[in-house]
Amino acid sequence: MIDRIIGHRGAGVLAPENTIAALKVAHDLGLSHVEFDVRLTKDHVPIISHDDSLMRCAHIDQLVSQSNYADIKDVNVAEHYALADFYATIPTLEEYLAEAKALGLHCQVELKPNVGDEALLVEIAGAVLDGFYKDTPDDSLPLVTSFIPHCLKMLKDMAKRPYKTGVLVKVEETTNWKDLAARSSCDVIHVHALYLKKEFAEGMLAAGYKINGFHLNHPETAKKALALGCQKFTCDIPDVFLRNA
Amino acid sequence: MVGVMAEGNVRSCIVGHRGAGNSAPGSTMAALEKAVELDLKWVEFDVRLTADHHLVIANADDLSGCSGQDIKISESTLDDLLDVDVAQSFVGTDDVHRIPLFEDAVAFCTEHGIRTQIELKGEVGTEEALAEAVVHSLKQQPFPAGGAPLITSFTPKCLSAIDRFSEGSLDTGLLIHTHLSNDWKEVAKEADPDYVHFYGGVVNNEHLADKFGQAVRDAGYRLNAYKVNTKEDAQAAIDAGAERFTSDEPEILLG
Repeated sequence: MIDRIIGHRGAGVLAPENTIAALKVAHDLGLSHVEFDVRLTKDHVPIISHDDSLMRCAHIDQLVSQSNYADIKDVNVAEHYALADFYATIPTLEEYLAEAKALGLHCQVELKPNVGDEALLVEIAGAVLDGFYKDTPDDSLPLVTSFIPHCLKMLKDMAKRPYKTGVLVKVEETTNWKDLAARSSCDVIHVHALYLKKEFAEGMLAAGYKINGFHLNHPETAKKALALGCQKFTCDIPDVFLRNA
Repeated sequence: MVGVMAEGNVRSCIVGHRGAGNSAPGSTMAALEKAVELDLKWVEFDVRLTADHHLVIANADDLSGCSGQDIKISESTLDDLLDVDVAQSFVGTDDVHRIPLFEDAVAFCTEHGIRTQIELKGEVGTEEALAEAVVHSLKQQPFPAGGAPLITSFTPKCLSAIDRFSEGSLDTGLLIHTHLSNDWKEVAKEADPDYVHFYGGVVNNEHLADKFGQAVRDAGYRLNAYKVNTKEDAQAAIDAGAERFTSDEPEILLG
């Protein structure tokens, strides 16, 4: 089961999300895969952060997209984390990839563009990935994901390496998976596991897609999803999940 | 803190999920009858609005999972829904189970002295209407002293609406999605609940143990948990200070 688990934003809620500390916890738990989010600062540095706003994690009313990297690189994004007195900063994409590689973790990279900067994010993040993975065998390349189908399409068209891509399907758009998959030219379809119905799963597999799940935190739900053909899934509490599985 | 898994202690903490958890087809009157048989003190069920604004008990809007029929509560009238067997896929019964009316479920529990934890399942855009209908329905039902329901939701908007329509007279509990565990304070700020409910696996976690429990109580909220299905998780929830927890396995916890 552990090979199926992808640590959500690193190690889910067990460490400050999308920080180097989260990668270390994921590694310590024995995970082989981690997921994280990449977005651009105002001066076009690709960094690891789920939200554009720094409010939730850092309790600062400031946007990543309106800040230069130098101005946010020392911000404590562990302010919201359950453990008091934790300090963790925003990594750059390059730093994160290097740390994941050092820990032997496979990566699932989610592209988080702001409206209007999709092409720019794909171009800049794609170039970092191409540089970092230029000598990596095809089967060890990261999986690149996005809720925005044309981000994935652009990446496939311009990247130098053959990344596999996965379109993320919002819960309310689950019935629309065919269109999203076609528009993104993806390899994998990521669905909220609670909404993965048998007829969707059969359709996805018959059309040649792989299926991954997200927010899969309960073993009972996971078993159902795996029985329907789901291969891997992001999880927020991998330690509990493994204990109860 | 060393907890004591005394039977009476645990019994007072258990809230039968969707009635009696896995011991009966969920969200049916049969599940409430099973809860009486198991002598549960509390049950939980989900309330939803039909297309013609009646309140019914159901976990999911889409009834295909439990009934095998392609039918949605939010798009159907009560008349249409009453034709559906909502326990068709439950292994272990051939009886037909009708979708329960909210007022019938509440009245049944009051009559049998069982407390209710009612989860508002508002489809996007209908949160206010659902809250208003629930408050209106509950006002028609007299509760014995100390017998009022606890209203819960994952959606802060639903709980704010309950506060407004009930003029603060109903206790509310905010359910925290596991992936938002670290962000519970932000969500709670919006909902201003009496209780905060975490997944039992979050409460019983060596990385996180007691941190949420203590933090919740320090912030002036009361702690509950959901999906507590093993004795170990039940003990951990009690140790962390949870007053109650929903469970799919009341018989295992009591066994």
